[in-house]
Amino acid sequence: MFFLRWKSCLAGSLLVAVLPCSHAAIDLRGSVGLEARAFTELDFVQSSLALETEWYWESGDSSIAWKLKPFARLDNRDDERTHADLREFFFQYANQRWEFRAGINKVFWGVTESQHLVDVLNQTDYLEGFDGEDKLGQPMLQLTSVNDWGVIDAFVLPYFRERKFPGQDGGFNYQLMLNTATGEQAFKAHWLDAEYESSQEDKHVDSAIRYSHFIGPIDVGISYFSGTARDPLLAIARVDQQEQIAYWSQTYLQMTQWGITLQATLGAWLLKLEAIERDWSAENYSALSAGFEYTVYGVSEQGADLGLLLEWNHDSRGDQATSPNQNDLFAGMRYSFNNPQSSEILMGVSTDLDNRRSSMGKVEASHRLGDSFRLSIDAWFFNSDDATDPVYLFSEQNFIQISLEKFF
Amino acid sequence: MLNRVSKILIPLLSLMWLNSAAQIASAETPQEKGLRIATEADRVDRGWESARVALHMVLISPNGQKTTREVRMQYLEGKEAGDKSLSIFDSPKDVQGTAFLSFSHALQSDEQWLFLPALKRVKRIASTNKSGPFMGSEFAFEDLSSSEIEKYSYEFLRDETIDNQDCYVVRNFPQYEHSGYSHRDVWIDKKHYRVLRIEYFDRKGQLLKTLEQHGHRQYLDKYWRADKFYMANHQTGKSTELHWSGFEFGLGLTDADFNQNTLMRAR
Repeated sequence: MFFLRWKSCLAGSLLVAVLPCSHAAIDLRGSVGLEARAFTELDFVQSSLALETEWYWESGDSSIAWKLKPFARLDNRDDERTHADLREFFFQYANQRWEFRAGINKVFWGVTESQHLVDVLNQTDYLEGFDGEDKLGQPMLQLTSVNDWGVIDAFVLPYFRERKFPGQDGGFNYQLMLNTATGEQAFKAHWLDAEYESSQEDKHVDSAIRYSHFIGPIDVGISYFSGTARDPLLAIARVDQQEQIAYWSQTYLQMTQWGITLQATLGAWLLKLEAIERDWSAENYSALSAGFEYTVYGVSEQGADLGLLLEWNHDSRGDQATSPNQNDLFAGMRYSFNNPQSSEILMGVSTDLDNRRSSMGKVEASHRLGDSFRLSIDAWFFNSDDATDPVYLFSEQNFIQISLEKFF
Repeated sequence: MLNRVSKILIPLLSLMWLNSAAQIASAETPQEKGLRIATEADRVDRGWESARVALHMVLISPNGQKTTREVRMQYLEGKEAGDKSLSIFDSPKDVQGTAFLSFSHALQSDEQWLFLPALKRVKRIASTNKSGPFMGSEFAFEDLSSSEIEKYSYEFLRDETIDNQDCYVVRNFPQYEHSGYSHRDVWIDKKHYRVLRIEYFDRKGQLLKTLEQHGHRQYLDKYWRADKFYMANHQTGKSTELHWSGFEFGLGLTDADFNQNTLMRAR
């Protein structure tokens, strides 16, 4: 029944897509942004221009939709960071019980703020930002069943997307300081081709399933993923002393990962938990992110809110963890002015509880100008003097960034 | 709770039919009369099931500077529990596509989720704070949520004529512990039981805001809705206008149109 209806709807939509149709208008929106990042230790400014557009069409009864969302950035220093991506390009059928999507899309799973352990479908767009918040579009088939007892999402992911790293001339360039016969020297990073555990390489078909539901104040999600791990294992394969180049290898292993997300919304308290269990050919591990967000309302005359965040991140591999969050405490503060310009300041510091001299922190502030511009200032600092700590790689990457975006 | 109210209400209403209004008035306490008026206002607005409306907001600063907002909303009338609503923000443009799902409750916190389109993330948000400003306006979330009878206790104050319409003035005391108000005074016209004016008093009992509702129209020969709300904040000098348009009722929406999946698909 459902498939019959779906078929006829699909035929209908193709017909509409082919024939010019007066009532089927395409909804276009997007943003264009200018950004300048000053790296204070490296002593350069990197500026860039980004454009994102979103094209959306739906049938009269909203059951069929198409969405296209291309993105591009032009960078003045780093040719690698000049890049384009199809964030989304999919077909969607939806009714009250079922949803089906085919194409490139982004799916987010998670509740915590300081890291996203459970969210594994999309590759991180590392060129956009090192913090893992930006994602590349992922080809997928998604079938969703909406029930009184919860939502089941099933995914087939037929193609894998590699992580791309910034080039030598921009920020986050993975430059290394190494001791040589002539003293300490900077070694530029050169990225070797990606290596895969699976012989099918990036054609390996991955799959995932997730159950999510809410009961009163509790929102819960349980997920399972089987396929290529999105995070590569990085290693220095060899060093060219003469040219001062470090050759980095990136290896993608096969993994299965169970994940759980849990949030309890109790008054002004949000209690959050994310946990994973990963089995792969490297050391199996579990990791956890747990904490709270507490909001103090009306701290100013204008009704500003102050949010306090505390999250503990743990990784069972300890010192061998590939993430900097092996035993770290994130403390943050969000100040929302609740004014017509929606001004907001977010500050956070993540401190390594095993090594107190390792920490990283950020300040993000944003403010609306007029009806369609947004001005943002972001600053990050990194502090580590332990070469085995993943944060150490970024220890000279402190930066302050100012960006102005126009939305349309 | 509703049942208990109707148990009190049905004998009250039948009494009203059997006796003259004057006799009732003398037999009633101000609290009973206040509850009777609120109950009747609730009763005449029942049965619309689902609705859709577009909202144009104008935020006005003390020196007259204006900022606008566009929101589309759809509602599902609650039978046992409170109403459900789904709001889609169209402007300002930097929050375009953000959508907000709310299951309202009279005495507990509402259940609320926000969809952030850039991250494709649905966030369950804390909703204790019904007194917080809605989109930087002079309207608090609690000013725009549905008005179940259990949300307040009532006291009839007086009869008063405003804009040539005879009104009851009823004081409402919020029963929700985190309300931003000590009480509010509501002007309800005697003929159609429409809200014409509300004065809001802060927790110290000082007059905080006045809401005026203008341009009432009747839909489906039954439900009255105002075209324009004007809220003035007396303490800050700021004000907000709400312009409602394109009301549609009886759309046949169900609970299945108000969940996290429809929130993510909302357009």
